[in-house]
Amino acid sequence: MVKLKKQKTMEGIPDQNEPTINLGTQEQQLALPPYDFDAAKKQIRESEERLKDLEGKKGKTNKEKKEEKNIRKALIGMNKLHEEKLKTAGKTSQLDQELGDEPDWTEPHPTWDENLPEDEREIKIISPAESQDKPDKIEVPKKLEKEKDKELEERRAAMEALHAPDVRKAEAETQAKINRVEVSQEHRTFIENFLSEDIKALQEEFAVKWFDDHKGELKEIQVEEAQREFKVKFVMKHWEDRKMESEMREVGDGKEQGYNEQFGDKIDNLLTLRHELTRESGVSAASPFLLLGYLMKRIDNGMPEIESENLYKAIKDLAGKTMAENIDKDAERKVDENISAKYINKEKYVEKELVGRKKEVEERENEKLIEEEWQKFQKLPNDEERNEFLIHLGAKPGQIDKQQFKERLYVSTNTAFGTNLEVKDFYALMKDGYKPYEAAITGYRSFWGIPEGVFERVKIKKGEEVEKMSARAFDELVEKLRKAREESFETQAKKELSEDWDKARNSAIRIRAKNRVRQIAELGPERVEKLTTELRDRIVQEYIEKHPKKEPESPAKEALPPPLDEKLVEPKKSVRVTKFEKVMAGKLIDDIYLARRGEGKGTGELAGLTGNIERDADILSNYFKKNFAVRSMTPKKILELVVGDSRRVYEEACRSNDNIDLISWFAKMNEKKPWKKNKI
Amino acid sequence: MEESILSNRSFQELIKKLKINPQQERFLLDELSKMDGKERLELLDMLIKVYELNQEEAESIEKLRNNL
Repeated sequence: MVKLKKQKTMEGIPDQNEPTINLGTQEQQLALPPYDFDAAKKQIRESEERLKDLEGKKGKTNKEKKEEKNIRKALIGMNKLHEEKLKTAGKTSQLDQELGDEPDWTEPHPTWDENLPEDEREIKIISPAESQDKPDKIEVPKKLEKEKDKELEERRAAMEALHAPDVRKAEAETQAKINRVEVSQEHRTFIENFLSEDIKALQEEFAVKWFDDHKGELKEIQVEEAQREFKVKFVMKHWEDRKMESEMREVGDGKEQGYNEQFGDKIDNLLTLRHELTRESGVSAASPFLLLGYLMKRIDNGMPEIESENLYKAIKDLAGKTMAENIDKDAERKVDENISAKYINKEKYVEKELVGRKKEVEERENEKLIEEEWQKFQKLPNDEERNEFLIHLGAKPGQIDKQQFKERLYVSTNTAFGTNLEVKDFYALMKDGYKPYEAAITGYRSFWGIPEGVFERVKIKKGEEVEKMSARAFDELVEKLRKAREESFETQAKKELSEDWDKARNSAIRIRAKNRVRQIAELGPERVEKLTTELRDRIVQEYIEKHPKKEPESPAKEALPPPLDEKLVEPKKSVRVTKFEKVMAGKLIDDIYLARRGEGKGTGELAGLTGNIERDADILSNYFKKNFAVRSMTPKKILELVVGDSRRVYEEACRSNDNIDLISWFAKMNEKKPWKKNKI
Repeated sequence: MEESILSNRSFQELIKKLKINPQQERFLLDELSKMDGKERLELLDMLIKVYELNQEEAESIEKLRNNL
């Protein structure tokens, strides 16, 4: 317990005779034993504890009140002395206080090899018995000093980063960004050109509309006869070297809103999409999905097939890379899984459908042969020859249709061969160039003791030549041709079935891929939400990790470095309406406005400033939104801040947390006062 | 007198509006009363980041839902 009664408290300074805390002259001090830092600190701590007890006590006696007063005074003196002693001893008092007391050398303590270079020294923990060092000789080791400095530097840097003047940094940190829009270079160029074409088309459309809307003002030209191309050129030239999209917002008599809705906003959106597509980093997570949505809409609204196919390929690439998926491969795998779930494969399918398909092929081939004969007949030079041919077929001369013609070919063949020639043989012969309908059989079909067909002769036309052969040779020919033809049907049927299978499979894959692309295009909100949730969790988590939970008895603030800005320590004083005079937000905007309006013309984001604040509010609003992350700095608020009641805007913002970004901006401006430092 | 934006109530209202996950929200609300002015400004900085992120999210989702 500190014996306060023995202390004299002249101006709060303890008695010189007090053995532990000596505040004599320099000479006296030199004569006295060295100042004991530990003992002094201990006494200060004990006094503080006693004071705390007394402060918290209710119904204090006069004696206790007096004691409380004395301790308070004594503490001022003790602290002052302690600070002075620390300075005299060449120690960085704040650093020491922050990093704790001097080491207790009666406990195991760190040591290091002095012979090694500083960077390679390893700190070892040794017991006092092992230690060769005397406590009074030991200074804070260089390595520890470095660590202290480093730690302090890190803390300072962290504090400064928290209050960095560049508000854009905060914006960049918080926005849900991805590196870039992922798509192959070929498709990137394709989409970029596609968007450029759309932008150009909208600009031209706007130009034509503007021209038509302003016919009355264009007296010097023949407006009535002007063609589209002329109108576009005229309007473009009218705004030579100026950006169409910004002009759209300026022209017309009360038509601006209409132009904006019809063209300006759309062009803005497309320009943003194109810009995001070509950016190499820091792209909004929503951008690929916005791009997908727009391109899908363009396809859905209809376009020439080839263009649509090319665009679809680019969209598929974009969708796949956005989701890090191989859309075609996944679709193929899924389709094959579905097929195999139905216990079927290509071979089984071909086998199952072969008979039916062979029949189809045969009928088709037959029809083709009849068609060829019909065409030859049609191409005969004149009616006389056609009639002659018909008579030859046993038909009446005159008009005949294709069906009747076909029947006559059958009848004529049947007349020659009777029932000995099947229909399929008729076609097999025709396929090989024979004309079974121009044939005849002579001789005996059979003779006693002689095999059938030996004396029978067949005369049949092949092309324009007549071939003669025995009936047996003819039968062999027919059989050979029939067999070859049937084989060709089977080959053809198998080929067709195989192709049908592949086609159906590819089509299923394509449909599945298209569905997936459409699905991905619609995943935007979900993905942005997911990404934002992750990012939000991370931001809060990082904060929590930097600010561990405080125990009630050891408040974390003791561990913090001394404040960089004393004003910030006091709560309730940082940002208050009553401090608004210092905020001078309106003045700040006005300064920026005045400073930029002269130099900015024709360049940068403030290129369009005219000097008329009412017209420039829109540009300034965008400038603030982009550069200071102040989204609620609307044109209306700009006007209020610059020419209206800026204090009211601030007060209104304070009343509603919905305007937190505006308040935070005011707070930051108040803290940094960039208009004084000329930082903006 | 207007209430300071660094007051407990303002912070509580703000924290609850920011879609912070329940565990983290509970932590922040628990710690709030122990914070001094400087710590509150740090907290405000972090909450502003979250607020801006939420704004960005809302804008993006609205754009995506309206398909530009």
